[in-house]
Amino acid sequence: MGPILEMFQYDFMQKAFLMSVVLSMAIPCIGVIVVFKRLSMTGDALSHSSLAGVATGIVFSLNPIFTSMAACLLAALVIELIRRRIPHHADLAIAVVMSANVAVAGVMTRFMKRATNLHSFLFGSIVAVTTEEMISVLVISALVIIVFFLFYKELFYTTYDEESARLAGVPVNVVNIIFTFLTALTISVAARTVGTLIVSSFIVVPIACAMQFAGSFKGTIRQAVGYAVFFSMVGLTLSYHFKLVPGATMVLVGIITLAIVVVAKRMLHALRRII
Amino acid sequence: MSDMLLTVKDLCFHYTNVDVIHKINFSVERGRFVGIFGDNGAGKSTFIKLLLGQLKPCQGEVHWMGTPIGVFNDWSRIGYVPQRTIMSNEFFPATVQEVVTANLYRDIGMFRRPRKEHKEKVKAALAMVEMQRFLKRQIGKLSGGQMQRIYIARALVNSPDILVLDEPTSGVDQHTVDRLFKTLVHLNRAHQITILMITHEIERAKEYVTDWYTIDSGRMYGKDVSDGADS
Repeated sequence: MGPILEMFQYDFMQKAFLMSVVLSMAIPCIGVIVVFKRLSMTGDALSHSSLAGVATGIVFSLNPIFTSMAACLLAALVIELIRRRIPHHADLAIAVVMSANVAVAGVMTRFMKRATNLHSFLFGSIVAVTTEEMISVLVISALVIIVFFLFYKELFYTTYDEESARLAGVPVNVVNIIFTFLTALTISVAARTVGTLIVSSFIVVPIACAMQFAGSFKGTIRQAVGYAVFFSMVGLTLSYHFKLVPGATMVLVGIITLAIVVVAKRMLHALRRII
Repeated sequence: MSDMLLTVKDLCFHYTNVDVIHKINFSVERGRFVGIFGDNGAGKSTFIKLLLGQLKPCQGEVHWMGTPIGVFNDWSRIGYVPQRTIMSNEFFPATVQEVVTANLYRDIGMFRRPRKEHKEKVKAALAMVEMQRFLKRQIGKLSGGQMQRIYIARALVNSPDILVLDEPTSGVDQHTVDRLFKTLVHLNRAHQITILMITHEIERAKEYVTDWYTIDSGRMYGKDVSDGADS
């Protein structure tokens, strides 16, 4: 058995690869909307907010995936409320919610028997998930993908031009609520596997890579899924062989790939000008 | 079928103590090409938002095709072309086909995918503005004038009775402005599409429109002014 295939003899690695492929299909669906609605910072605030949910789950012995989901939804709601009250300072809402949730998580550590569990959420621990958690991740990811494709037209038009979408009959408010739910679901499952501190990178980086060469919205999603799967596979393999943190390794693979793709694009443009 | 597509009666709107729209009476008859001119801050954008139901008037009424705006739901009969600067971002990786098809939302229906007939409608709308060869092009890579024609095609895809354009020449270079106005005249005359256009290009647009009005400090002046009264 080759050194690459060797890792597949372990049950935890099989689980990790299965989860990362499914997650890599779900995350770009949300990522494409997050990036083009210019909500990358909101994504970051929600992922940090999920930490408060995780901490609450650990303290009260509840499934942390579900409590982080609740925390994300609450955070999204509060951000939206503050944004409506103070529309010219939307960034304020993001900063307030993010710091409040990180503070809650910090206070909660006082009531934990061991803070190690919380640490596993900071950088994720895809190789340490239980079967129950794996099923939650797979079911929620599948749900995100299905709902995204059911509301694809609505999400596309609302993202591109909300005003015209409303006039065309798209139920924009409902679509925005659905999107918020999907984002909260995605972040909560990704937080367990990739980690709350870096999940927003995993949402944004595949889209940033895909944007360099994709010519259509559908093409961007397809390419972003391809990139996300690539980051996961390479990241997991490297983390296994070099004993690195899997989530962080995946994100670093993504960042390096983005740098290569951007440089490649520039070189291609320069080459075209010469030819 | 009524010949009056839009009727506005005593329309008023104000933010706190500032009068933005003051007692506007206005109508658009089928087949006309109506221009509304005004400087920045004159109240043009507020007026268009009131016409589209995006703002609620403090007083007065708006009727589309004889139906009060509050109960009007046949919005596909109105083709709206928003100001291009409002459009979210030009790096959006969507093709012309994806953008124009999106406006067929009512026709396609929820949970359904565009069918052959919808693809044909998109091609026909693009042909009306001579942009059919741009079908697969990425919208962000088009020039300002080309992009504006695509947004007109997007509004035309539902075969509307009236086109409502908000500053169609913004972000368009001066050479393209005349071409854009000529396209609108062609749509008005050859396809009998009524046009209501808000623009600050007063001198150039006057050559093309059949009726024109001016908004200044929330008040509308027009043809009736020559008879000695506010319109």
